[in-house]
Amino acid sequence: MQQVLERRLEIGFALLILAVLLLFFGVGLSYPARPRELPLLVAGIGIVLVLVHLANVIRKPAVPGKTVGADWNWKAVFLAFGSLALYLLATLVVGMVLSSAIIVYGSGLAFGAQNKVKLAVITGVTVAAIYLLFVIALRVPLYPGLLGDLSF
Amino acid sequence: MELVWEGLLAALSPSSILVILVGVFVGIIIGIIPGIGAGVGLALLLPVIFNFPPLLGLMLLIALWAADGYGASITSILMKVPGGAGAVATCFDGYPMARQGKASEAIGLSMGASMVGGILGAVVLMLVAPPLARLAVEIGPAEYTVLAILGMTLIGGMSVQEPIKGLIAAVIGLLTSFIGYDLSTGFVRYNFGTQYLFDGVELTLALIGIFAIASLLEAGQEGGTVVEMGKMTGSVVKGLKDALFRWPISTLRGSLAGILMGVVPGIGITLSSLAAYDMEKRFSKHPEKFGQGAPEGVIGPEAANNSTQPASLIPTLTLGIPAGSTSAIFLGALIMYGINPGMSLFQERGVMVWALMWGIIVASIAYVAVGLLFANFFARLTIVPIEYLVPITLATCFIGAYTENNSYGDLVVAFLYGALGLLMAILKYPAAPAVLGVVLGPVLERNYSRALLMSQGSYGIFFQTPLLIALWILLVLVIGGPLLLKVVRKKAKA
Repeated sequence: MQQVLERRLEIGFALLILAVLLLFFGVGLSYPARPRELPLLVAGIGIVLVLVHLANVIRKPAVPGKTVGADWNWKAVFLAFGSLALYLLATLVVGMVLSSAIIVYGSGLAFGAQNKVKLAVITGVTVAAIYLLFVIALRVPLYPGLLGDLSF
Repeated sequence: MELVWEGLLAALSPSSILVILVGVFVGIIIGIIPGIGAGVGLALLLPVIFNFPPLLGLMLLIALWAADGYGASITSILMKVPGGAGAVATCFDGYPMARQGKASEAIGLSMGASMVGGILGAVVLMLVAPPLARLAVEIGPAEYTVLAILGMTLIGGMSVQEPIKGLIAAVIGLLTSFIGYDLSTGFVRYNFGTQYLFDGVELTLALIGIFAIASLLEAGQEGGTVVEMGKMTGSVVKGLKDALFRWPISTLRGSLAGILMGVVPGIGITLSSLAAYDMEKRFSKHPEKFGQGAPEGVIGPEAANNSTQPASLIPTLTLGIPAGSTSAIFLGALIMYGINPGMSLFQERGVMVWALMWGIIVASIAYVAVGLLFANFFARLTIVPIEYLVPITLATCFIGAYTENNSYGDLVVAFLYGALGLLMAILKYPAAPAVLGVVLGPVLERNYSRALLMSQGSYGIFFQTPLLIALWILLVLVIGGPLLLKVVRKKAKA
């Protein structure tokens, strides 16, 4: 099962890259000679490379015990990645300083933090440190969000 | 000689020392934060130094810039998160050392190599700045094109296990670099109707996404601590000593690579450190140990990226040509003080120029002193549980991505790069060739187009000068040398 998943992932990723390369190649054809020269060359080389790679993956039998991603904790990865996506959305509303709490708390939980109170304290301290270091000390104007936040 | 002496005295005055220490401290902090490099640090300090006397203001910038390279190596070693583009190569062996419990030692190696690199770069700046600057000007678009192709050969050393995946990663990086307006014609490409992509995609975002976010998610899902065995061995002082006395050749070789590449405007710190890493691997008797915690893999790149900084000042000070974005900001500071760069600068403001050069040396020693105070604290971060350490670093990465242009779009691009980097990590595609592609793409394309414009489309321009011929020979040697060596060794064995 794992080998099937691995092969699907490997082929899927290669097909995704191939689609992007074909897009770059196709769009590039409409450009004038000079600006399209190198992009077409590089995309063309890329297409050949991906096709060779795909042929290799399909031809080779799966090697038991050498499965890509077998040792990954997928649940943790998806949850942590989800917290990053949520952070991006929250930043639009409450700004970067406050939304940082989502990354810290969310990915902390995803990565298996057992002590939720300790994680909450660390989250609070991190948000305060971000505010003090970037907004106050370095005077970096962080994204304020729709509601505006501590950075202004 | 009098100017040299007066410059030294000015650099050693109590006010200069104080300013250097402050600059070094800020530089280390800025270096540690992924995405915030010396360029942003210098830009943030410009309004602060406006009321400073010129020497002290410039000394503060120089010290920050010098210490940034060392600071950037710390997160590379501890978390496989490069603090800046110059610290990418440090991840390759620095992080495995941290996993083996040798974070202190790796930090010490970085400190020692950085110090020597910084000092040697400054000495070269003192001794041969004008002739080196003239040589740099001789390098035209055709030479840059071949240099960029030469840089591409580094991909081979970065993707030993599955070369085809390294090449595909490099293609992804190169194509990314083509997004935005074409540097020679102004034609906008691959922006897909959005204004955001007009200027292309920043290297920092690729670095944060492909390297930092992907590495952090990988480390996070593994859990535990960075140190695999649960205990730490080695010490900062041992690492420092090793860089100076056990592997002096690696330190010198890295420094030399950094100086040579730093003096050429536009080549930059990323390439110098990656080239130094590649060089160490090629010269090593045990290349198989690289990527698994080889000390030379930390020393070479660190010496290179710290010697690049003073070397990049050579064209900036002598010709007014910035070698990169950070030296452009430094040039801005000079102009802000009414100081005009050029050969005459050494006569008109001799004491100040010499004081700045000595300042780099003092700063290089100062960050070892400051670094020694904090190195053990940093190293102990490797025994902090991942579930607390990684989330904090992730939050800092996104802030680093945002500060590049103060744009929300940059956060989204860093996130998308993170997704790409994660898939690459899962499927074992090496990330470094992609970054190299992003770095070299613009250098290659801009100069290739310019060279062909100059020659009215004739490819003969790429073979016209003795320097070009030498570069092509070097290219053939770099590509064909290892193959030839293999054949010779096989024959010798037979």
